[in-house]
Amino acid sequence: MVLNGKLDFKKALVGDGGRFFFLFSFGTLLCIFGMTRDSMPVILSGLWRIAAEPDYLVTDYIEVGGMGAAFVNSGLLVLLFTGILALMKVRVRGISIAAVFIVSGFALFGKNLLNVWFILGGVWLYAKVHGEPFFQYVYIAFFGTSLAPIVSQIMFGIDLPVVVRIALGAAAGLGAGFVLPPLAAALLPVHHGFNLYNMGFTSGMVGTITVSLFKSHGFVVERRMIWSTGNDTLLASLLVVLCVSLITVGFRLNGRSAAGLSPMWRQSGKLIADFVDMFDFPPTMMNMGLNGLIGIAYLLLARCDFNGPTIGGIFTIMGFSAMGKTPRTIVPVMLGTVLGGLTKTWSLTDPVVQLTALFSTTLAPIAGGFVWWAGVIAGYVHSSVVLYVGVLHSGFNLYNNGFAGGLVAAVLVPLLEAFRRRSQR
Amino acid sequence: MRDERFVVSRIVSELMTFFFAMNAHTFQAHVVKNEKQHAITIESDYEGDQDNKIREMTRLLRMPRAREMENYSWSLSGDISTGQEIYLVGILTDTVSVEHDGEAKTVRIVLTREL
Repeated sequence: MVLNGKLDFKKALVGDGGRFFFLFSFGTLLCIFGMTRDSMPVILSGLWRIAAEPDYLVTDYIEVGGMGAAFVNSGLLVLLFTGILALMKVRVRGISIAAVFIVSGFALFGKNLLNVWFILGGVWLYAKVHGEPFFQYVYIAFFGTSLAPIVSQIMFGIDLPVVVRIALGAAAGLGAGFVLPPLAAALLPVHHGFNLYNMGFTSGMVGTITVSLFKSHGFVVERRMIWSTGNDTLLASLLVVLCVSLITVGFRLNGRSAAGLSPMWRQSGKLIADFVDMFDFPPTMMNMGLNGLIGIAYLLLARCDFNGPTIGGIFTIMGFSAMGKTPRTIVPVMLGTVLGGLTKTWSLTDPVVQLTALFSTTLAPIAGGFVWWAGVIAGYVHSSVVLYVGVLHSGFNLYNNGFAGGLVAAVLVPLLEAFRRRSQR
Repeated sequence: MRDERFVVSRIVSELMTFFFAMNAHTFQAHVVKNEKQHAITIESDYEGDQDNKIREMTRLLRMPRAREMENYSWSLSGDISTGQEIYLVGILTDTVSVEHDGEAKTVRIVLTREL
């Protein structure tokens, strides 16, 4: 048998145009939903409050700026980031969907129309200094916006003259973005790709060092928990409609078939498992919808809240269902977190634990790459680690679960590998 | 790409890991660099019925190059193998040719990576 040449994606069931249409539609939907919740003047003043609020973990933009402004903030960032991909003529793959969806999710609690651009600018500067095109770093830039709260905190959270604050905040954001590209590549092998939110691990390291420097100069950040409640029915309904639509449209585009899901679910999901490339777009849409429904079901069963941060968790699960997450791999990890709730000193309804249950699925590849109970152990351990590492970066790294997940994977994966090799002998 | 030499060595490492997981006895890699590209030729044998794995490997090697993902992902190739990592080799290379002799249980892969 002889096979030559690369695959031609023009034969894909959904081409680049359709994939961009999907991402632009998602952003438009978020904006429209936001605009139905509040009047335009209320939304505009809410957007200003969101931009001017220090927004380290956990700052729910629905509480800060109102539901309308929070969703418009998220929708506009989706449209702008998708626009950047379109301008650079980047092919929409699973990683593109993961990057845009994680931005949409965290645009409900930490990323806003002001603070993300300094991180992107820093990565752009790094590319220019090294004489390389920015598009080769675009995903590091997108995921790297996890450090955006550093910009907001310095610009709006410290007592200095306004010009100094703005200059310092911009410099900190640009600096954070500038150091991310080499660190992202260097730190990826630490967890062997078993931590899906890799930039969370990288940003956690950068954030820890940055905050250590700040604190040793007398800069102290108080912990915060801005958490909205009382919108469960409306927001859960929105998410269910979104997920069911994804499953239905994906099923129809796939020739009214679930073909592709079975081989997809047999993958470990370890980085980089780009499901759009490997299995085409329609099965990926179905996987996104199904995993989203699992997240929603968990929130409902555990009597959790539907608000900016938890919706951010659902959007992140859905996004990474285009690059690594499957029902087979996320459920064991979530189960590990639930078991933690039974044996540890906290409750599953504690806000941070609600987020942990969703974002712990960053370790889904451990369940996929080893055995399901390894995923349970990973979730159980992670649910403890994540509660104590946030203090290292004072919540300035929005992907705190990615930071904790990197630490857990760095320790667990070599142990699991050692026993797997022994059993293979 | 600043880390070109590391990327090429990781590509070879990934394929070596893959074939050793199929009990290869002889794995040969030949890399030629010129001004335009690296040409990587891999020849390996294997044991047992591995047709499905080789078919899947071939499919993943045929994934088109993704320059926008390289800086984010290249350092993962050549690490722990769960089977799907050949995808990384696919998106790091521009052309591929796979010759599989099922009776002799040998595979010859020719990859090029443009600079």
